[in-house]
Amino acid sequence: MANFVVFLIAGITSGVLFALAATGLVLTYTTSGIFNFAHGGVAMLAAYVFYQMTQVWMWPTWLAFVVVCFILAPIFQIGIYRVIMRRLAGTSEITKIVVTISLMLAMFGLAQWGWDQSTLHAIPLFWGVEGEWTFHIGGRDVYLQYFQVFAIATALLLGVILSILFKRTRVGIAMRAVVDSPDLLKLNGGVPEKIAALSWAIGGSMAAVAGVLVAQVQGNVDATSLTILLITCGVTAAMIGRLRSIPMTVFGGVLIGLEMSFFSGYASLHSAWTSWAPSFGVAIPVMSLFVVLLLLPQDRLRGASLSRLRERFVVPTMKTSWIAAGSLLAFVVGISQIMGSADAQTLAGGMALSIMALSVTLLTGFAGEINLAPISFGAIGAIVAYHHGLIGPGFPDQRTSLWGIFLGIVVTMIVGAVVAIPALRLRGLHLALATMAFGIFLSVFILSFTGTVTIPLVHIQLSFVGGAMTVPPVKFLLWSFVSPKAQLLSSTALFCLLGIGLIAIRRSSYGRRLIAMKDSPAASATLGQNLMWLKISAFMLSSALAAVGGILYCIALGSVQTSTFDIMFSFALVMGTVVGGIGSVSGALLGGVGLGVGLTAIQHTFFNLANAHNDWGQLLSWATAYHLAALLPATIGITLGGNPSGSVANIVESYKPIIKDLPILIGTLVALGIAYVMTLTHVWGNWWFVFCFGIIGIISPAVAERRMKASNSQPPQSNNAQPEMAVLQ
Amino acid sequence: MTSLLEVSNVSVSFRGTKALVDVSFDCQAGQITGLIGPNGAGKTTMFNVISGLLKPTSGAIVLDGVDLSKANPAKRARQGISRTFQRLELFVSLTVRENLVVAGEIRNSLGRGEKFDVGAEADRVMSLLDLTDVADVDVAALPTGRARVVEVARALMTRPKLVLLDEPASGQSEEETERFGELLRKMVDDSGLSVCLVEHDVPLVMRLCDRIHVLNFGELLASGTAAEIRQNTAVADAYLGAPEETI
Ligand SMILES: Nc1ncnc2c1ncn2[C@@H]1O[C@H](COP(=O)(O)OP(=O)(O)OP(=O)(O)O)[C@@H](O)[C@H]1O
Ligand SMILES: [Mg+2]
Repeated sequence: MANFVVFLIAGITSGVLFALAATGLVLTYTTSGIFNFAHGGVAMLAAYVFYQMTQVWMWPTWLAFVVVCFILAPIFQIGIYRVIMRRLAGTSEITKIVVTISLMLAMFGLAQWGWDQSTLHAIPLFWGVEGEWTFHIGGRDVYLQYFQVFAIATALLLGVILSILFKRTRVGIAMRAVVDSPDLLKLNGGVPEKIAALSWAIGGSMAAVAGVLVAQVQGNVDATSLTILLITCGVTAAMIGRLRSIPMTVFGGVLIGLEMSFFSGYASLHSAWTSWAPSFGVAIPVMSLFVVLLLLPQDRLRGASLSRLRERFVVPTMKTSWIAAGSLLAFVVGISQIMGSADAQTLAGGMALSIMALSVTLLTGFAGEINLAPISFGAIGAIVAYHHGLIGPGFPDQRTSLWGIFLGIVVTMIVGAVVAIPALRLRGLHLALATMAFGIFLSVFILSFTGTVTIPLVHIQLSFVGGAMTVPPVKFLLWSFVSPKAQLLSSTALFCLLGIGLIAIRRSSYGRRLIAMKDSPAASATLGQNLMWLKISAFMLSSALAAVGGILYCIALGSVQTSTFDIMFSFALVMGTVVGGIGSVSGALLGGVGLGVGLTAIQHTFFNLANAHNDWGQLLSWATAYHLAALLPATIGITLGGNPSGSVANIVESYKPIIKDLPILIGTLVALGIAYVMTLTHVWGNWWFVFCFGIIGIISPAVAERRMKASNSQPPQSNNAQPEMAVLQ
Repeated sequence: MTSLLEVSNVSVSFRGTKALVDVSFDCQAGQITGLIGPNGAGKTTMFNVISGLLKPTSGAIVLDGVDLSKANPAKRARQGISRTFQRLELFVSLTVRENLVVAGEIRNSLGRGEKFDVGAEADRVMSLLDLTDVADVDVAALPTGRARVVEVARALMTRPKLVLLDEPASGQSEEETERFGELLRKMVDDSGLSVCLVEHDVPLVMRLCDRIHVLNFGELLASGTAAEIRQNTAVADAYLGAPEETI
């Protein structure tokens, strides 16, 4: 009984906080149609700022609380709405999702920049741990903290204020109208800007209150756990309210709080369950999220009303693809000659990530189904290959057999199908959330579990023994791909083949059907297409690609931990792929390599410099550059609203003038050749090559474009030409 | 005359509002059947029910003697129903030609009727409907009128027994509409196609349709030939209530 009361109080406390976060999410979703993945990020940042004010600057707690939650958070959130969210009208669901995910990743970057993640940022409870009332229940002491009362009271107060606002004020009534009948408002030409901005401000406040108070419950501010907790619980509660009903959302939040409190509470009391108990923390809400999504009433088949979308992708011919693949391979062979092994290893990892990104291209770019956890599928492939594919003697001489890789692929495909079947009824955002739930579940439950996990019947092991795993290089017939360069070249060759395969799929009847399903499921179905089979097959193919990439990625990294498969990393990969261009193989290359290599390389350089010049300690130091570099991809992701087709399209566009301008083309190639030879002969170091490469890459298209403009703007040869032109047009 | 499609006692309600109330009608084989009514009468809803995208609260759909009431959209397509959409549902990442090709490919994989050469069939349908000049244009770049014709062409690629056309003429110019009507008549007369036509262009419907059914507020108001419908006072009243919509 006493335990029950303790768990009940704790559950209600966290429950009302989740409800707050979720209500903010629903508010912003209904007024803007954008599901803000960064909502949890706002909460997390608020907690950090609160920490900074109270623990570092020693502000009074109440002042910090008011400033953070009711001044800074709303202003920040209005800024987000004004600068980013407003521009997303007319983009596809995946673009919207990726933009807010990028925003969240950027907030992560900010938190890492501002607060050293290797130390604990403890915040004491309001009124301290002694601030509590004691009751006697069933002969035991039960404590009710002042903080718990404060949290519940704050949530209730906010609820009352909101309902007064909704019922008594004009803006509030307008806002409620939006929440109650978004369709009606759409008919009337959308939500007035002011109302949308106000709802984002209120949403920001609610997120901040939830973030600060949940951090108190946890005892410290931790970027990852706080964000994941608020995302999963907030999203689950919001989905229980079907992103519509605020009372149901509140109910959902409290329900999740109670569920978590009771499950982990009682589990920790039973010895048989103790090893699982900590995992219940996040596993409970993600499992609930999955269930809630499946119980949602089915979306009626409809077109994605994509006709007004701004995304466009050009499909290359097979010949172009072979040429591009050959050039890529030649390029990688070339630079591998001047690279050190560490760099080759990083690039090999990037290539493996690109292969994983291909799985996103196929599933999301072609079939229009969103998977936010590609790396989780890669993890399954790697783990199975590790358990069932090791051959040879002990550590340095061990190899991964093709059989292991094959088995890894097959198991991942089956898991893909198993995830796809319940997800068949889900599309767009709902599918994104379901796959996110799957990814988080895998990393917090299966990969964090210290015991043995075996798939029954087939005895395939899925355990992540000892929290780390070393996947050895591949052995294929007589060849072993041991050296980083061998890994790099084999991964690149494989990427080329798979990329060409993907383009072949896109040009085939199967590929056209995937595109047809993406563009209009309703029309596909009424033409006779069996959507179920198509979806499952797309999920399985994409899982296979993810498995191959995952295995190669683990090999390139050498040793991997649970954190390698973090959902944030999956988010980053999806973001990279969309930024690169979701509909194209080159986009996957850019996304994967960009994530794996660019970031590592840039970070390494700046980080080394940062360490060397630590004493500068100024805002404009190398450390700043390092953090900015870490923020760069997310920043690009955030700006997707302006250019939803991804950056490859832009890059190709900007390089076109060079190809048409022979002198510039030859000049560029010669300059690159000289830079390459200088590096090859050790006249200068690799970074000079990268530097020259970058400079040439920026200057030559700019020069070519100016030349082209100059020649275009030349006056026509004779005046007679002009009327003729007009007639032709 | 046998009835190809039989719709019996179909009712649909959306969260309380009744979109269709106990509607029964049929489409004869080898004819153009018109389905008209003011805005919100339930015409599109009826098409959604017939094509299987929407489950009615009650009622039955029988095509050629086969009860399709429980069948999913794909199954109905296999039985020979094809349709266009009022709010265009083209495959916007594909060109006009690819839109037709993919429809033909899906149809060929269904195992209904003989397989045909998809490319040749697409070319034939495009030349029939004057789409050859835009064959390699992205459908997203087409004006609405042309896009509607592409929808019709795509629906024909499955060689349906019955094709449901939802306002195919809206967005087309007067001449285009004229020509489209002639084409439709010709196809029905030559190839034995059956059509169910929803259209706000009343003169076109009157000229083209062998039989017309009138829906009003979800209820079947009248059925008959063009001449009979013109005489019907109830129809005149319903349309007089919303005169601007009939034009
Ligand atoms: N998905 C839906 N949810 C709720 N109500 C709907 C839905 N679809 C249609 N309705 C309602 O059902 C009624 C019939 O709509 P329907 O689109 O079938 O009319 P229609 O005859 O095709 O009109 P129009 O000539 O404007 O195309 C309308 O009142 C409409 O608002
Ligand atoms: Mg309609």
